Amino acid sequence: MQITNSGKYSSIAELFRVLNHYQLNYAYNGDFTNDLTERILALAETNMDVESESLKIKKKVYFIIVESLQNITRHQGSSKDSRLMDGFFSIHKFLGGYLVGSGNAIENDHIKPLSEKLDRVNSLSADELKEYQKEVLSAGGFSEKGGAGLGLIEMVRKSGNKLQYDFDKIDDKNSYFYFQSKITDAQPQENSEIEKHNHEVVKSVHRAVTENNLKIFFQGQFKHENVRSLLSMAEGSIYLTEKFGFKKTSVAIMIELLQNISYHAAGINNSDERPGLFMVADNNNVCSLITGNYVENSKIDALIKKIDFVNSLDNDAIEKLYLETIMLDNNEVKQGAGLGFIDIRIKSKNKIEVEMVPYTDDKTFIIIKANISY
Amino acid sequence: MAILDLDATEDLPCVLFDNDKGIFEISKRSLPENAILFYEPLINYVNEYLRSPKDNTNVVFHFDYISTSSTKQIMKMILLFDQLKQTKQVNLSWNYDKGDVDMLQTGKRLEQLTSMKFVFNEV
Repeated sequence: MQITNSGKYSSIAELFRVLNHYQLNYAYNGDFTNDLTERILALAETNMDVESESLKIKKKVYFIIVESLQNITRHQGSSKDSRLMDGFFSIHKFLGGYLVGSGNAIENDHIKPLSEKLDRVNSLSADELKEYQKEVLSAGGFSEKGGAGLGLIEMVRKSGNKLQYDFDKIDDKNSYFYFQSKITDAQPQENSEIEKHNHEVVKSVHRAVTENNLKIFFQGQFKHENVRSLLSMAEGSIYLTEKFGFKKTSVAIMIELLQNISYHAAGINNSDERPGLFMVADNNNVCSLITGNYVENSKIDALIKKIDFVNSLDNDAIEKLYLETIMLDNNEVKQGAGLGFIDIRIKSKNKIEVEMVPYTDDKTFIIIKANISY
Repeated sequence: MAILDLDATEDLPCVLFDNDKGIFEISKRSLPENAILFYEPLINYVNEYLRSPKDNTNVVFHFDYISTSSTKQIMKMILLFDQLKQTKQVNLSWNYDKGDVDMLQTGKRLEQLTSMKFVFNEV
């Protein structure tokens, strides 16, 4: 299938399909604070635990993530122009390994020395890298913003792969720097998109993410511990913390959407799985909180009917429905009872949008979108 | 009955139930994996208290965030205090963070389902 990364997609399903080609597990686009990077790290860690990764790969991936995040925060500019301000970070999981990507603006004057440094590190054999590392350590020469390429050397050594990079010109003064590091446990499968679009993965994903105004992307297992880390990460983004009332409403809706997946989502291979999708997008002062998960086809009609009904009600009717629903006695294990959608509709003050993507004969991928104007 | 004293976690609330003093406080975040399971011992504690309640009972809620599945359980608990109100003095305070309109409205909705008058405090 031909992948084009031009422009905005007309549906969330289409955007998700494209990002899926790059086996995207996590992406964040925006301002990076130290607090946020800690939350991103915590999410990556719980996620690898939930995915039962080996300790060996976990340690390597963790190290690469730390280095990549440090590169973003260290070189993050201070400007009103979001193309210069926003950093980008992504994690891609493919068969046999991970790819960690980052992006940030740099001044054009820095392109040459940075490229030389990267090329130098990439040209060395394992033994030569070891020697070079000793040399740099004893020389003690640190670059202005800290680090003397030591991080880069360690990244090549730990990942076992060459570092890949690219620049995209923004204007006469600045360019966007794309950087990616692949951590492989075994030989990746040849048909993997990661392999096909080898050095352009981060650039392509960054383009799709920015053109569709995505702030956060996560796809994985929505087990309780993962949901907790995901929520904490989303709460830590500057985008949400700027306005108090907006943050409260957004986080409250996020809680309902995420719990909805961990309670009700169908698994693909077994019933313990909770595969799902979470995205935050921002279009012209409307924040969209988006989740996706599989639902058994036998339950689709009831779900759609419920959402349509909630959408059809005016303020008084929805308030009445809230009170009726809360008094319903349901002591079953599945505890939603439909109060979640009512709450989302009331708090967002907008209709809940739904997209359906047929998956198998008995399951459908359901995308739910709550929009909050601010 | 011993004091029920639970520290808050990232997704569980801080709980202080003292039947001796007639104090029932829940605060912070209530986002448990299973709200029915989490609230069951709390509701049992209140039920036990109702057998020999104090003349004055003070109930204080101050949620930072509350999931709808928790709200349902909190409602169950409030209805127990509403029952107690028929014979004893019960003060129920619904506190919320400054500017947290959503939380104020949640409290107002629950109040409608009782015969009590909640005291709303923006703190």
